[in-house]
Amino acid sequence: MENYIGIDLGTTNSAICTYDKETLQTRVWKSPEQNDVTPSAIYFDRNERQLIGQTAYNAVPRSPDSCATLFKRFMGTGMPIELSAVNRTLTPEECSAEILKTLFGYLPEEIRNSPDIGTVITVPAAFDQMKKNATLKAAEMAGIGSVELVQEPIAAVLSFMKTHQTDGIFLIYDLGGGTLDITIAESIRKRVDLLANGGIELCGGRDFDRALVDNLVRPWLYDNFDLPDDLANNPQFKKLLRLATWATERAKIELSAKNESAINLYEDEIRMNDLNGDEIYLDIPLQRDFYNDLIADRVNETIHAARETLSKTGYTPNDVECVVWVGGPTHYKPLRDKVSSELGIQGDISDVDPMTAVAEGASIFAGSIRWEDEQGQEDQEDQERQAADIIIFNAIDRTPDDTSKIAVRVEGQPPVDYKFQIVGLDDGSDSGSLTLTHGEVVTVNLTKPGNNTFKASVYDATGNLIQEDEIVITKVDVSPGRVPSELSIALEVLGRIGGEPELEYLVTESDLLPKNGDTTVRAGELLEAGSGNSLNFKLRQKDAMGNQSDVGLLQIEGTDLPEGSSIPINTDLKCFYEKTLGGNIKFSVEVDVAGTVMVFDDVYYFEEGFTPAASQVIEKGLHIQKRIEHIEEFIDDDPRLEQARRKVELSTMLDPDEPDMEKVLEANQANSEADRLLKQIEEDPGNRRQIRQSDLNKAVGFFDNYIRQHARPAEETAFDNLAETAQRSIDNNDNDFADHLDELRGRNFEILWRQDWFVIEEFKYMANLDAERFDDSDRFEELVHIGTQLMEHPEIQEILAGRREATIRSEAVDQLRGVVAQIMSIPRTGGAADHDAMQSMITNILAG
Amino acid sequence: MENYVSMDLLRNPFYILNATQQDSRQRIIELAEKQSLLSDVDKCMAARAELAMPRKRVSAEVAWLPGVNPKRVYDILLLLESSVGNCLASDNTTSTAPVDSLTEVLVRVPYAKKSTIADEVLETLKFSKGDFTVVSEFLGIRKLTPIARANLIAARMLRLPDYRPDVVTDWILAIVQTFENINPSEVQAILNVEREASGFPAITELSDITSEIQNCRRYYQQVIKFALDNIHSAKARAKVVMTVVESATDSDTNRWPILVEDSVGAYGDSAAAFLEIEEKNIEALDKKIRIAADEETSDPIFHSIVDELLQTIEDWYVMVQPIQLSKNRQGLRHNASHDAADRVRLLAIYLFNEYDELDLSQEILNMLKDVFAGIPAIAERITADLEALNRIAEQREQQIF
Repeated sequence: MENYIGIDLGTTNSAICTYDKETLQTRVWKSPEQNDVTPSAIYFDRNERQLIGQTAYNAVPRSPDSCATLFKRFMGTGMPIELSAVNRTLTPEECSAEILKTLFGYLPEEIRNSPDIGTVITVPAAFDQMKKNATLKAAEMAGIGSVELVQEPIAAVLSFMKTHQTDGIFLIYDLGGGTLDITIAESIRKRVDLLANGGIELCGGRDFDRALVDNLVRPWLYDNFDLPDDLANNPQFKKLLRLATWATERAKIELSAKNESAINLYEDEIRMNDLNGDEIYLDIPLQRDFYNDLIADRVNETIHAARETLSKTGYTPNDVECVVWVGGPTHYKPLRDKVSSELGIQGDISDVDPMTAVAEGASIFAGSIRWEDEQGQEDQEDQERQAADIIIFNAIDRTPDDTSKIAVRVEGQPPVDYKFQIVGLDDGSDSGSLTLTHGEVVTVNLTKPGNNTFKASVYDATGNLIQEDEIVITKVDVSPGRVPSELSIALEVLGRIGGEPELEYLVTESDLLPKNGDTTVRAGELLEAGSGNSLNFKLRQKDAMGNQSDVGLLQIEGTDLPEGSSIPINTDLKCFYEKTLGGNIKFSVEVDVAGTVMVFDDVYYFEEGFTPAASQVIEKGLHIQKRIEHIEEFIDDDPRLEQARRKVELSTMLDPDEPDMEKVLEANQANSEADRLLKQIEEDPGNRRQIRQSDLNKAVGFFDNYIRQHARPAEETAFDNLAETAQRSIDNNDNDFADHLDELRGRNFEILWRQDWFVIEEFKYMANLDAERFDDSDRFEELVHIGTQLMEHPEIQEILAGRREATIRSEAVDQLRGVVAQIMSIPRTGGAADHDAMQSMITNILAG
Repeated sequence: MENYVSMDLLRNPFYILNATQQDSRQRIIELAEKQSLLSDVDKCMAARAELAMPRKRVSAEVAWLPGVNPKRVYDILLLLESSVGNCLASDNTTSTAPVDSLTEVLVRVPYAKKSTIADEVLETLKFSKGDFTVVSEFLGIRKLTPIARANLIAARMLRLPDYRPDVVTDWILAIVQTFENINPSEVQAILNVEREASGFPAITELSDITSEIQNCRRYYQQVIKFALDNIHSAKARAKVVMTVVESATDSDTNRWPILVEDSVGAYGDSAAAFLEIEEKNIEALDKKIRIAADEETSDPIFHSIVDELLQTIEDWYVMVQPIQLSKNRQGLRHNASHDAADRVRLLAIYLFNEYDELDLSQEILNMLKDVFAGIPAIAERITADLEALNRIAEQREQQIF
């Protein structure tokens, strides 16, 4: 590669930078307005002319329906960006492609038109597979050739390490417009290893802006003008809030440089009257003290996230050299001071620009990796050479050091009395003649940045040249160790036949990428040729927040097998997997079918994530709220509970008909955040035991108080034994406790299900549910109708009146039981059909 | 195979890098760079990443030989490498074990002799601590910590020269008992002493250790399954597991060491295919008997098919008994037992209802009662059936007299 380009494709701002491998210098390319960063905004004017960057950003408050902003948040969700004023619909990928094209336009023509370009685009650490695929698609739409992705924190670290010469451990605090990323990195002799990632998905400058608008601007407006209560939703005044938010952000940025600023908008900027006909203006003083108090809780959350990420490594604040600041909000000194002093780690005072560090780091990354076309060529050469030779020269091929090592590897028996010599083709250095032995290591000098070439020659005992190899070692500025995976990728398997599905991890969070490997699992059931059955390999991802989702599905179907053949139960299924540097996943399965090895690699990868409807987000929020209340029964002093409660309010207070999808998405992310916090609390070893014990006691207490009297002797014994097994699971901190608890609850239900009164009560409860919650609401209503008629049956009326012996069997109740069972079996997926289809697919692969 | 040995001593990151518990971070990085030029780069880099980070390092430390003098660690590993049964020879062939007396002995002696010495020394691991003298003499190790001993036993179980049922039984019992003696606080204290020497921060959370010990437990379970799978006879496998259950559990308290439970789980997986065949046989014989009864097949032939069914159930029972026992003790339902019992119980009722085969029905139900005595839910139903049949038999007798 001749040209290395790094692009920070940000939610609010983007930037482009190049890296020169010969001079080891980076250069940020400015926008026509001479700014280092370009707002990620697109605007269509009255003549439908497309404007991108600063002009588009300035148009947002006045013409929001002609502008596309914050589209990065919707990447990979399938959510369209509607520009109603100009009657246009764009995909988030199309919007991102336009930004990429604009940034590329800043480059000089000779770079732009060069065929030899390696471009690295940054993505947030929390981006899942679908979002990454969407980013690659945007790059393709923009016509960018060789593209790799890199996580934003990694790019930020590389930029910092380029200028920072000290070895040590560093905490990178990257607070952007919407997200906080925390990274712990270690540098040893300019080799950068990333030790841990963490952060908060919904915490950034926009939250600070919102807090200011809600707590300062709105009250001021109500104090000074006559305005309707539904300011946010009133079509007449919606524009006012948007303009106010824009002015607030401007004032907030000013506050970074001064102790006080003001949120100002003149009457002729707003051009709007209140209900009394008075012209509206804004003139609100903003002091640092007020602002600091307002954002204190949020900042504390970020400090907690930083501590948590550091704890993943096992290091303490004393081990950390300094905090490296990245992102616009970190310009604000009081925030830096507070984070620094609370963590007990000094802040970085070097000249890394928080706004361009990510783009610079991305370009350095581009210059320090082996690109696929280079790699393919080198690998082929290596293979050819290794096939022919029994003597192989291995070297560390990319290093920031002034020296590198070349080692001799001899396959099999080393030849007697052979010699070898290594000569530097750039500087004429010479190792002299050395005896050839396996494991011999020669240190060579790297005299210039970029490629340094050496010739390794092998001579036999009589001095005849036997072999000659050329070795290229690239001296780079900073060398990223391999990149840790930000997501775990797992295959869903059964621990045993009849057991619950569990995850067999192929790549775990913080495994180094690229990573490939194989694992052997077994068929959990017989698959016969021609049958309609299949062996299902479900790939799932788990992010740093603990959230799981489907990634892809590979099926070996009966129809895939040759006639008359089969895959018997317990047959070995060899799975090959790879997660590339950019985070893409490849997966295939090899199996011996009737003596022939068959390979299956037709994986269906989900291209778009699932974006739920507002009603589902609310339902999930309510569910999380119940969990919070449940945990509060025995843990009340954990600040994370309050944080989770605050987050979940975003969804529980959401309007079920909310038209603004950004709000729905935010509420959904807030649910995930709250869920993550609860998981953390639950997984805390002390809490985990306490919560489990309480759950077990409840299940056992319920059995003792209400069920035991109805249970058969064998059922009682089995329940008691299972309760003991569950207790042991708590004592051993086993993962199967949840299964046992479900089983215990299931046993309780099984016995209750035999009781007529229970079936009647269950029907009454179900009949009152909202039909819309069921996928097939017509069927639900039909069954409720049948059940309601059955409720009028004399036998049921006798039971309700307490006039019927419990031991006398009632046919009417039996029928009602059938009705309740059918209602229970109606799916309630809420439209997530694609992913739910995968969930309903039986896991029939056994762990190896 | 890879799955079995992922936590094997000879796949441990310390082993891959030829590092010791007392090597500093800087030294680990140097070792990784050197090793990666000579062996698998990916493995070396992964090992480096694991050992260099204090939190991740815990898993390698617990799965290693905690408490063993670093100089002696490679002596022990040399024994494993030299074992006759070492079919899992590591692909890291560049071991640079410290040279001392044992190493010299093993390096000098011919291969066959070397293997014998290694096997003899390793053999003593399965005995209780008091009989540990051979290892002590050879290695100068007075005592192995339970966690180190369990890891060593597991590594040995992957390399036994001979997987005879009695040998496998002894090894399973050895690892079961050793695991019971592992104390997380002790492991934490030992690892922290080693960390002080290497300069890594101490492990402060005991839960980090307990969770790694649980990972080891899952690995031991895989090792037990590996050993059981190497016994060729299915019946012998069942016998081994039953012996382990009977020897290691306390019948008074019904207390099972956790690895016994895991052994039965491992056996259940290993026996699944065989049991499925037997269950299909029972199903086929059930159908055959019904057809034979419907077609009024001659008595001797008919009875021979019934005998075959009874024998099949008894054979199946031998195989399934440990699983039944374990499930029952845990209060879990063993579906295969319920299915088989229901099938044969209904056959007995069918033979009585349709063909008045009272004696035969009683014979079948009595056999079922014995086989399923340990599962109260099934036993209750069979007892009720038998009582009904006995009442009918009594009534008939009274009518005759």
